[in-house]
Amino acid sequence: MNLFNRLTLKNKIFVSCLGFILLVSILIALFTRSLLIASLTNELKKRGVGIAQSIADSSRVYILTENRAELTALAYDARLGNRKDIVRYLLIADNQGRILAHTFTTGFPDNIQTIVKRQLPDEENTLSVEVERHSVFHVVVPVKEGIYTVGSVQVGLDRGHIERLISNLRLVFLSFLSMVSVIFFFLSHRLALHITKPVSSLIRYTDQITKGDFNIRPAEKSMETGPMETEPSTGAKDDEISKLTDSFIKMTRQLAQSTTRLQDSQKKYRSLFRSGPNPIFVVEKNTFEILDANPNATELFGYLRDELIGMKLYDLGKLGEDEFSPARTEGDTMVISAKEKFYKKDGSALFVNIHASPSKYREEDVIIVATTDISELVEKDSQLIQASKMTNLEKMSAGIAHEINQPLNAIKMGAEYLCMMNEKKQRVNDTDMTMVLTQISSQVTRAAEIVGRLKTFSRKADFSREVTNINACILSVNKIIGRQITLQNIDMVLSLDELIPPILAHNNRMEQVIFNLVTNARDAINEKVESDPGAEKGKIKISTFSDTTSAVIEISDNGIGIDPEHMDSIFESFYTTKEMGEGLGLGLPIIQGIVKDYNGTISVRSTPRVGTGFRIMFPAYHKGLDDESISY
Amino acid sequence: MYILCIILLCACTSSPQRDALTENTNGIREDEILIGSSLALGGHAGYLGTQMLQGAMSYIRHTNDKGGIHGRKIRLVAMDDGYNPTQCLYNTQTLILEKQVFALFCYVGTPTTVRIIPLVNEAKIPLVGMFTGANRLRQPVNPFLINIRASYYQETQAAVDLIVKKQGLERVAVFYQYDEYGFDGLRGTEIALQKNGLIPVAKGSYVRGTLDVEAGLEKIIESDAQAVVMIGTYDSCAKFIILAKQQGFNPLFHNVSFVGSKELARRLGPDGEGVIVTQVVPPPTADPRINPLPGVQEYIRILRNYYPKSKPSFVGLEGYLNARILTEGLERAGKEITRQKFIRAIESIEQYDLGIQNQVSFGSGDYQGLDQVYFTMIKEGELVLLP
Repeated sequence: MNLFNRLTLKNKIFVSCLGFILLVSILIALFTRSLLIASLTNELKKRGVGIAQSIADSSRVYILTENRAELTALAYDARLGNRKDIVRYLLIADNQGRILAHTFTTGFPDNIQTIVKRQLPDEENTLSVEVERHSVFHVVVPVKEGIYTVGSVQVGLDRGHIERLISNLRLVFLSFLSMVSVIFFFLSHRLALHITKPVSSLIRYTDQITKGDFNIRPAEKSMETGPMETEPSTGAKDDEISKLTDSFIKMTRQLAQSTTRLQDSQKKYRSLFRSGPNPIFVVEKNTFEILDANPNATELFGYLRDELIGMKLYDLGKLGEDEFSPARTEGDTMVISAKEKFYKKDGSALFVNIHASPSKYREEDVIIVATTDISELVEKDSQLIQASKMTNLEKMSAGIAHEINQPLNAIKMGAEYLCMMNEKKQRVNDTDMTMVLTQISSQVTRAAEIVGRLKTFSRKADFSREVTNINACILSVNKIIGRQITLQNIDMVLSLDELIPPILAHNNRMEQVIFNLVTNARDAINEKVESDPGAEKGKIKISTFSDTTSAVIEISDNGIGIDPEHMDSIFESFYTTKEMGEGLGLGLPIIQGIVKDYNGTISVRSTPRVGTGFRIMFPAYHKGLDDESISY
Repeated sequence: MYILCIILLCACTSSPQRDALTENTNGIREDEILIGSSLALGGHAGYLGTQMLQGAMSYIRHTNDKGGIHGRKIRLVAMDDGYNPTQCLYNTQTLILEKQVFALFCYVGTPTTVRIIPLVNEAKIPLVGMFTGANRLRQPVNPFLINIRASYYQETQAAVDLIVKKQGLERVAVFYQYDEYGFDGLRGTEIALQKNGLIPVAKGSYVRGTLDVEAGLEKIIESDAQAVVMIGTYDSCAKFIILAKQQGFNPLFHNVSFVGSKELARRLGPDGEGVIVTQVVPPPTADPRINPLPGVQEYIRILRNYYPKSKPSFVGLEGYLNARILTEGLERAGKEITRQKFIRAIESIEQYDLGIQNQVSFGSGDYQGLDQVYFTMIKEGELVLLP
């Protein structure tokens, strides 16, 4: 069986067919042989008995008269023609067992006398004996006159005759068998070839495809037309094998096409990768090791390609490791990080947006990291923000001047008092002296503080994230403009949650946001007071609170409110309801931009003539205050 | 596969023939050779048997008196079968099995001889000289059946040649006895006529043992035949000729040897004038007027020596000639004679002159000794050999 399994399909079919035919032939041969021998033997005995009976009928009268000549003639008649083949001898005996006539021409066999004597002449009988070295059936048929037996006819049937017949048949059968075998030999050979030829060509194609070079179109072509040409000669166009071949060829064609397309698209992507304007990194999924980078990346970051390869992505900039979650599905491209600060080789910083998408690269799970250099944009943003800040300051300058003037006046008053006392040559008592000097010192400190704050506020801040406490920002703003607002007869109410979680933002920016919103609120209240002098006292409420994931700032007023028709437009750039010269219409868009930079959201609700409330939400920073690595 | 086939073949192959031809020397004794013969010695055909036997015996006794063959005397065991095929068969069996004869000799008659062919074949015993021209004893060729006289085919062939070629007659009718002998003659005539591009213009027949020749005669007269080939016996043929002449129908009547020419001539009387009879042996007359053949003269001399009462006859002469071939064969077979050697010896007889004008020739595949026939014409009641 192992041997059989090792054969090729062709030989399997061939051997099976041949084996089956041989087996069937042999079985038929054996079956026929046994059947033939049995039936022929039976037939022979029947014929022998028939011959003997006919002789018995004719010989009765001659037995009675003992006419040996007639009996001999009768006996020889029994062997006339082709009966001679069957009847080896025939003898006629009387009831005493004496042989009256026989057909032994060449000589009397030794044992025949005893055989005849041994017979009971009364009954029909057949026995198998050996006469003259010939195996014969000795058939005895009694000859009766009335009820008594007068003699018997005894026939020796040649068993060799059957064997000769069978050997003839065997010869015929064998030649037939060999003919069938030869036919089947060729037939099964053809059949096996017919089946396996297309199969082996399929195998050949598969091998060729596996080696794979779809570029060789002519070879492919000839291969495809090959079976088409040979198929008519095999005479089967519609069988399963040729269909299989057809569909295989179709499949191959499709495969070739798609491979070409794939190669094209690979080329396309490669050229995109190479010539794309953005730096692109191929990063190992787990270790974030850079596997490849496009020329733009090397250009932007100032590294050589070979230097980049092998570096970690983190070496280029600060990134949250958890930002690249492996759970993210393939093909799912997303901005995972905006305005990330990266460093060039020479140490200078730049801001990038990062798009990442998991992919496969040379059989490895990778992340394709595309970065966009937004440094310029960030710079522009900063300038714009600064401009807006200055506008605000400008507007506030009178108030701020007043703020500074107050301590200055106090200092002046103290100084004048001291001068006057000096002119009068009056001695200032120690208590007064101490009070005046202390006041001057404290007023200087106050003014310096205001100036310091202003300085801090007005400083142009660049984009970065720090762990920031919102409450501190609110308090700082309150210091700058709190008194001023109060002077304008507006209540400033602070309701700050002491347990507010820190957020990732920038103090200066956050102060700007709050400053801006507070001045907006003040303007809204003033507008309302102008149009309706009898209105209730203005009130600005700043509150902070938190839920589990975010820190929230709410700044509300009871000012004029926003018309619903303007509601949709308030965050649009250069949109303003104020009179010419009073505002650029950049306040709220800049606020929104800053909030978005720190992954926050800003929403507004307002009722005309009742008030407006802004709500800003930032995601809470949970890493803990000790993670100072993030602030720089 | 082929190995399987061979195995199958071997398994099925029967045992080879065990019959080896053993050289049979039955009937050969120290001082004699036993020859058997079954022939009609009594009954209606008794004349034929006795005549033949006397003819043969005269020469055998002559040979024995001269010292026999290689020191052995020929002993002929003759049994009477009364022209009965059954009896002939039984006799033959007895001769072969019980008498253990070396060869069979001088059988008389077609039905009797035909009957024993199976025995001859089975016992492989030579049979020399049969008083019949039946084709069945000649076709198919059988080395055990050694014919000496010409066949009926040859006789009718010769008759047709004479009629058509010498006499220039074309309208030939056939009158035959409706049995094996008649059919043989009819076929021979038809074959001979066919060779000349002719067919019988009429065919008439009668049943053996009857004299109902009228119907056949009528048909033949109507056909206005110029010659009639007659294959029958003397009684019917004589009646046919007499009736024909009475009706003024007078074609060339041509009989074959089996008719019994002497009796025919006797019965016809004056009507027999001009009737031709073919003979397989020359007329056994020692008539000095016609310069008798030396073989015939010798026969007459020897016959007179051993059977002084017997008259020479065609049948006797045939028996005599048979005996001469037999003795010649035995002589040539040598001292260590066997049946096979005997047959080889017969085959070696070639251009053997018996002094009867025609020579005897056998050969391998040729067991027909004499091929020529003799034409005799009835003239004044006597049979005269035509030159």
